[in-house]
Amino acid sequence: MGPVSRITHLLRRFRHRHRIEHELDEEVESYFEILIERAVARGLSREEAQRAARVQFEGAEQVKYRVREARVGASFDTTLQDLRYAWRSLRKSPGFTFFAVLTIALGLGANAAMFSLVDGVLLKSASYPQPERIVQLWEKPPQYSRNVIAAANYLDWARQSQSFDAIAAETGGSLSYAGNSEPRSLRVGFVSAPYFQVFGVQAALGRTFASGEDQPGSPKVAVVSHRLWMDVFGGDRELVGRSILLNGEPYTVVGVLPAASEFDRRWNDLWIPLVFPPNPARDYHYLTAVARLKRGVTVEQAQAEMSAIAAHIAELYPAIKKGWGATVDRYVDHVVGTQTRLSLMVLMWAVVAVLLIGCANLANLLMARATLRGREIALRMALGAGRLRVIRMLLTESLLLSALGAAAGIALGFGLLRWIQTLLPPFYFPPEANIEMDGRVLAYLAAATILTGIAFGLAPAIQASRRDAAQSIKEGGRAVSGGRERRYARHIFVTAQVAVAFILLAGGGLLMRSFQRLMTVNLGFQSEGLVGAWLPLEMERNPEPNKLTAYVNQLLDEVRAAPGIQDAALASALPLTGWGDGMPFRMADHQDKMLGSGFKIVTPGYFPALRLRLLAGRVLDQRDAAGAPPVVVVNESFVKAYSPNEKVLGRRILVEKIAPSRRGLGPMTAWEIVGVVADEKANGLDEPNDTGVYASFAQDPVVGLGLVARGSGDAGALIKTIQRAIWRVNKSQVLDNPLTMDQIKAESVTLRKLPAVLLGGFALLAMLLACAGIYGVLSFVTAGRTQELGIRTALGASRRDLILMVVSGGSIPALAGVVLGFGGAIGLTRFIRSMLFATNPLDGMTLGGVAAMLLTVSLAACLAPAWRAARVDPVSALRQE
Amino acid sequence: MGKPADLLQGTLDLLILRTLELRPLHGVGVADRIEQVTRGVFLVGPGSLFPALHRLEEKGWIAGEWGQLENGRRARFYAITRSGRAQLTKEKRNWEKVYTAVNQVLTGEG
Repeated sequence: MGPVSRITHLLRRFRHRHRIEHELDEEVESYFEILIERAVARGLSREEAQRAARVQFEGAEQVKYRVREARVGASFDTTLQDLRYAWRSLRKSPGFTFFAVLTIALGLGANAAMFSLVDGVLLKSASYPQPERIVQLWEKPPQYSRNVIAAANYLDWARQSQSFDAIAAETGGSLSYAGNSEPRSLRVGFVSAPYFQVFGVQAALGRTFASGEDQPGSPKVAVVSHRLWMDVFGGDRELVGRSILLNGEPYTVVGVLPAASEFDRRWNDLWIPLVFPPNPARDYHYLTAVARLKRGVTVEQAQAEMSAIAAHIAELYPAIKKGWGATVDRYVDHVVGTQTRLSLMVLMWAVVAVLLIGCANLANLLMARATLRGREIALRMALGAGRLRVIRMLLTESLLLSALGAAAGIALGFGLLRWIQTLLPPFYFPPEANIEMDGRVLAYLAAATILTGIAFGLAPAIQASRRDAAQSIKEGGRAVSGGRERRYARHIFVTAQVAVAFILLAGGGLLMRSFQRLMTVNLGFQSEGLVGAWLPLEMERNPEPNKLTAYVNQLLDEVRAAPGIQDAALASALPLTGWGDGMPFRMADHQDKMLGSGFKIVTPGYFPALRLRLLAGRVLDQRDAAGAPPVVVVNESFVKAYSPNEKVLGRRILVEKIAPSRRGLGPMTAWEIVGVVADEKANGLDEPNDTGVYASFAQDPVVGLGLVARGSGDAGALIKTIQRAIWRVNKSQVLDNPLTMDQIKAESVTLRKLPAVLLGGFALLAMLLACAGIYGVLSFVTAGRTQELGIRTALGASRRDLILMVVSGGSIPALAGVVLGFGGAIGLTRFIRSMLFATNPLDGMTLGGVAAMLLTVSLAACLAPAWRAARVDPVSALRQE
Repeated sequence: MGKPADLLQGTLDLLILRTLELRPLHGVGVADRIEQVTRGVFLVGPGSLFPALHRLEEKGWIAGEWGQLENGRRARFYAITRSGRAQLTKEKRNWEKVYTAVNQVLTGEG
């Protein structure tokens, strides 16, 4: 029969299903009647004839059942029927249904959210054409593998390399744009003209950069992201070809990039050609570079070529480039950091574990229900339903449950994902990460739903169908405690649940503890009342030292004079955002050895503003002006690392000044160390050793400044005060991304906070589910043993005896679970060692605490059913049935 | 008792079609007829008869229609259709092939 006629049949039958059923009834009845009448005609009584027919053949119901089975699309009918039946049966026990759907919804919701993250960040490939051909280039200093690139070196690479179709350098910055409203800072990617060719991206509107547009003297052009085009320019198609004022200079917009692409998730709002000065520096490193391999060229070949080019450069400039090479990485391999990858994988395993614990709960409950429904199932089997048919019916029920759970889970997962995203600072994941609950997530969820339904439904269904029909009907669904085998199955489930929950709790507990330790690390400065912001200057790209100093001092004076401001200062990097620059240097009295340290340029107010503790000597002050002897203050780590035994004050370090543009180095200078301050934890709270040097802004004025200010009262009001003070000096001066120091601190620990919070949450969920499992099993077992308990009481068992009996029934598997989990945790927590800060993966406090908590909670879960058992009234218990 | 499982797959269909080729019959009639013709070798119970009848009807090889017995009882009579006859011819040929083949094996052995 062809598919069309099949469907026609199906539809027709569905439409006439009542008439068809009725006719089948009549037909089968008529068949039996004919047989009976014939027997009566032979002389049997009607009753005898009926019995004979029944003995000789199957019953009418079984016949009809087989006819239905034989029909086209029988399975379709059966499914509908099973679904209808499952729905009725679930509605009959709303408590069970609610608990089951909630359990699945929690499990699948957590899975949906985590899978969205894992898929977006780790699995989905970038939308660039042939992304495997994109590489990232680095300079390779003698001691390590990857360093940003000096402009002169990049230009040599670009001229000499043959491996690439396109190569481009990039650096970031910001330009202010006034438009019609308050000036705002736009984040700019300064890139070589072939940048977009490297990624293979075309403009959605207009064009990207033409070759040669990054040469000195070419007209100023810009390519904007779709995001900026919509947000600031209202999606105006006329924007292309028009000119906009950035830092007061006109730039012609030549193109708009595609919507919802990687370029909409990048930090940058727009891109401008990177133009190098005639003689760029070879010793100041600030560029990153990407390139697209020529077809057929491997990463290894490119690496070999770049190494040769770098070796040649090292020969030509031994003073600064001796021992330097180049590193070529496949771009897509390095988009996601190993810590992020590890965190996401750990969390993904955690939600799978939560789902499995939930499945174990439901399997246990369904087994219990199947026992209670034993009579009904036996009846069905007696009426002709085969084993497979019964299994199918029960599986339909569990699949319906898991589908309902999935529906609720999608909503939960969506909420969870949104919540996680609010925990993350903007641009936390790389632009290549496209996180959304799309078709891929739904497909994963569908697969998980079906597997879940089978996982918790199959074993109970098989078990239910295995029962001896006659026995069940006789028992009348009463002997509920089930056989020994079934009790073991339940206990194994409980043990496994508790063990898995323990492992998750151990992991979550360790991460929480590590995070707690991280948050109590001494910052070295007082973050309360401190706000910070970036101060992009209009003269950023061509600063004149005197004008720069004058302008900056004017800003600072105005801010300091504003009401409520106690201290204010400028620095080449805000606290907790790194040092600004890392510089190689030598000790003047030990010139053979090249050392390295963070190098921050600050105005004198920086020390009082941060309340940085002075340990020796003095901090920088007004004395340290442009013409005065060059001095620096170093931090405690610096002293420990480089001057542990000698008196550090009075020693000199040899290091070049940084050029005002921060695009090159100035003259080599000998700086006298005049003071030692406490470590300010510039590179983040988890950095144990953070050597740093502070130089005076007056003696080395640079651009790329941040402003810190301390004041009393509300942080929001403080920021407004600062903004107004700055606008009093220059109406178009932007205060970029102002945040309180506590916000900056919170952002700096996201990588550790996210897994701690989420794994902790999932672990608690796992514990609750495991306890619900213990509670459910014990309640059920005790409820089924009411008679037995009644007899025991009648025979003189005390309440205490009964409570002990029930509690031990539940706590033994729970205890076994804790022991197993402990072993598992010892084996598994070392995988998160790298995610822990100052915490041993076998931290006794944490593991012990988790064990105590889990035991307490599982004991509590045992107590309620035990209490109920102890209050069984022997008389009424024995009278039941 | 000849249970359907003892019949070769499709044999029952063949028997029913052959039985209905002569005249329309109701369920009991078909069962009686098969029992008579095979001299009691095949006893077709309702549990296999009705599924087969309904399957054949769905395939369009037989058509069922309500009619009356002599005593006034309503019963469903099945008649073979044109495509049913064609199918019967095909099945007969098939059966002969199988029969011959199996026989050859059996006599060859002997």
